[in-house]
Amino acid sequence: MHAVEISFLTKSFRTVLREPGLKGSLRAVFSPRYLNVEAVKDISLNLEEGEILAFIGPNGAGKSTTIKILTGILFPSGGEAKVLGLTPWKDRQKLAYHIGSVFGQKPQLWYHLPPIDTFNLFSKIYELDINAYRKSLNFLIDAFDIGSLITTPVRKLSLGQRMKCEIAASLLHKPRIIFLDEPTIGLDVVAKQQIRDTIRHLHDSEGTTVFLTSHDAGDIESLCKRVIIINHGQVLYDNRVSALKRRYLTKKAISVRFAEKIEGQFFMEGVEVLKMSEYGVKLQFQTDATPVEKVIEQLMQAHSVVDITVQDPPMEEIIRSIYEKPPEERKDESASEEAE
Amino acid sequence: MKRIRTLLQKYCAVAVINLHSSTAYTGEVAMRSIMITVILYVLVHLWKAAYSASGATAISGLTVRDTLWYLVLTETIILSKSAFSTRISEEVRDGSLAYTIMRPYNYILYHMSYSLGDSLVKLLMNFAAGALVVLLLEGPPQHFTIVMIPFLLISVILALVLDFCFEGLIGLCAFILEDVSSLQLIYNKILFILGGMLIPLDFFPGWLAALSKALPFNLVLYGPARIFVRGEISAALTILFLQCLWITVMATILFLLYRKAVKYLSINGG
Amino acid sequence: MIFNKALSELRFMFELWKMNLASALEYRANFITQSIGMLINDAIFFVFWVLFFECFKSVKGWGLQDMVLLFSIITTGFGVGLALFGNALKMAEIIAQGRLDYYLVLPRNVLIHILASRSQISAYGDILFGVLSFFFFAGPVSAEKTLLWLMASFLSGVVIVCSFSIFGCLSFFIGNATTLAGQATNALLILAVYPDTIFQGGVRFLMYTLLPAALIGALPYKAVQNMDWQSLGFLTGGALLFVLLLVVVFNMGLRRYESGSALNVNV
Repeated sequence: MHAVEISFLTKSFRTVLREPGLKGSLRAVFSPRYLNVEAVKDISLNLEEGEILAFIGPNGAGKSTTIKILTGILFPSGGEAKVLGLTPWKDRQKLAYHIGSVFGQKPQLWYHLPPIDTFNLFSKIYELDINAYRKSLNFLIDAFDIGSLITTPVRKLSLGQRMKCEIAASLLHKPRIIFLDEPTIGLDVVAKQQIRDTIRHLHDSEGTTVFLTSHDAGDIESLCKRVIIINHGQVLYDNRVSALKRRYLTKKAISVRFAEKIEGQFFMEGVEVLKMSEYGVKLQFQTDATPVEKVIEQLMQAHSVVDITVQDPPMEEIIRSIYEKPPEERKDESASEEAE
Repeated sequence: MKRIRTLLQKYCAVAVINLHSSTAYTGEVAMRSIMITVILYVLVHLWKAAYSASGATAISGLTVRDTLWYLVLTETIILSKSAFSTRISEEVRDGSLAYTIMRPYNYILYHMSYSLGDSLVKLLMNFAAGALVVLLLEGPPQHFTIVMIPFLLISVILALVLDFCFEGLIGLCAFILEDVSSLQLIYNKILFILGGMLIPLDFFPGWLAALSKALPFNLVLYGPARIFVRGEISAALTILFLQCLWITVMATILFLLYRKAVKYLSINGG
Repeated sequence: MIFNKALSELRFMFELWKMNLASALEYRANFITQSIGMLINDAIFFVFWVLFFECFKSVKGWGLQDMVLLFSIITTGFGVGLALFGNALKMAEIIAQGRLDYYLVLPRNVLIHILASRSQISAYGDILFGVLSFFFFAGPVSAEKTLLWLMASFLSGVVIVCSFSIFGCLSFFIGNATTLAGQATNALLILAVYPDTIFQGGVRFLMYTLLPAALIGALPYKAVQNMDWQSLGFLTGGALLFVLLLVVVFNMGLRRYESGSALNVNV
């Protein structure tokens, strides 16, 4: 049994076309014109237990709709979906005992009380056995290092501390799969790392399936082995993160520092100058046109190099280029990835 | 002279913009008129039953119809008045009040124009709805003449200005109290009784009537309503005079306290 | 099986109420000011009736003590109802803002969970007023009368919570119904707190059915004032009907919400 099975999932909404002005408002009430929005179009994917999946896409891509269908909040227009063998919208309450969810923008912890009170409430919500609850609680307190935080009112915690407690709350009942929607949004670098570490720790020790949505490329790189990119309601890319990088690593950047000052404009064949300062340059080039060794060779020959750094394109760029490519091209790529 | 003219234009513009934005949500405002319709529907039945039970045609000089039109006006004003205290208390609490001195307008006058513009739309809709109810169930006002219209209009506007001053003072209490909503509630309740909203002051036992007339609250509701229901110019003038008097007093206190508040905030922060 | 489930939901409700109380007591001063504020609010209406009955000895069979009794029932019912189910007043907002999702992914009965997740703090002031006015200003008190009063207030509270919630459910069907629901709840209370005998015919019928003002005010009053257990029986029936109506309307609305065709849903 897969943890998540989706086949040809489709979801369209009929929304009322609202025109501006008083006339428009009146029309919307008496003879409304509808707009059919296809939020999700024939999505199919399978997720095994214990996988960590990055489910990403630009805003309006259909991510939230898909997650809402998987958690039973919405039912689809067509297709099938099963989570842990259950159909979410039919067996929502039953499924609820086995899934956890954290929506970055929608808090679960009661604001004026310390997290421990919400934890206790959750133990009642999930009808946890008192011993199992205590064990789970202690485990999470250690794993997330939140012992000193849980007795402080939530309103006094920093965003990072709060998110750790939010995630802990969603894990008290030992769900087999958790849906994390933007868990690191708004957090500083340190907090982001803490959250990532805790999720990874959790996955490694409990084998929890993780379904992660994030706009943060760092989340994806550090946590996920597999990534699915979705846009306009369709799956654009479904493969390993490593494959993603390999496929798109046609661009590289080199930062160089020289011993002498640079005279006039810096020029080298086959490379683009991104930045230039008194003693250094940042160059960009396509590796299929100009191999890395050639560039480095030329640099070393022409000038006395003090320092040199070779960089991959940032994950964001990679993802953005996928978002922006037309659908057919991407389908071919995905297919060839599978073959690799 | 030119300065006054530009000032007037500026604040009128503020009032008008608010008028526009209120009418953009005519649906919302119309819905709020449901309140006054229900209230007056109930009050018509209550007072008609009360008058017929007592057997008298007039009590303290007011007939049942007078009383009902009196209530139309008091309810209209109370449902259309501003909630300035909420706005100003929020700005006190987050300290943004201090920044308003940087704006090229007077904070108090700005908000007053804003409130008046907002109230104007509500006044029209609420009065229309309330008047319709009483018109259909009882009849047109008996003692109101066309000549009284200007007095009435001015009195209503002065009433709203006076109320605005009270609301402003309450809002500034946010310095001492975390939450001024209870103060605002108490003020509104004072208006219910001492302002003469629920019962005309003429029906009060002597001591209470005297107390209410001595306090300024009756000038927000009872005053304009009385002008509406009793077409006497001399009484109207007295009310207008008293309204102006109390506005002067309250507005002065408000301006002074506002200045102090801004100073305190710009030194001490939010 | 169903009994066990019901019991577990009841226990859960109690837990929520405890948490709400704890949350409120975090701000002791606010708790007190809100309650006292509501007490004063109710007292003003009481003052109105005192002044009113100074002028008119009685109106269509109602005197001062009758009005006080009526009002004590409604305030107590309202107070208890909203102390336990504070979100009855916020349903329209919650649905319109898509905050239902939080409740949907948890393994609890959604309706009860939503309603009991908040406690209206000022409601405790209503309870205080209701109790005080019943014992001191509503006429002679006996054990039987007190029992009737407790039950009548409780049932009145049930109808109040259900009708408020039903109004709130309009958000499922017409988008943001916050203002409309607010107006409807106010209209309902206004109709309820005045003597019902001043109305005739069609309106009175309405008050006993669709807009259950009479179920909230006049009928419980009748039961207590006349020590009329039969009226209490009718009231119980009415209250149960409204509970059923709420469950039906809510589930219909929920179905609509889950299809995604509810307007203004934040997707």
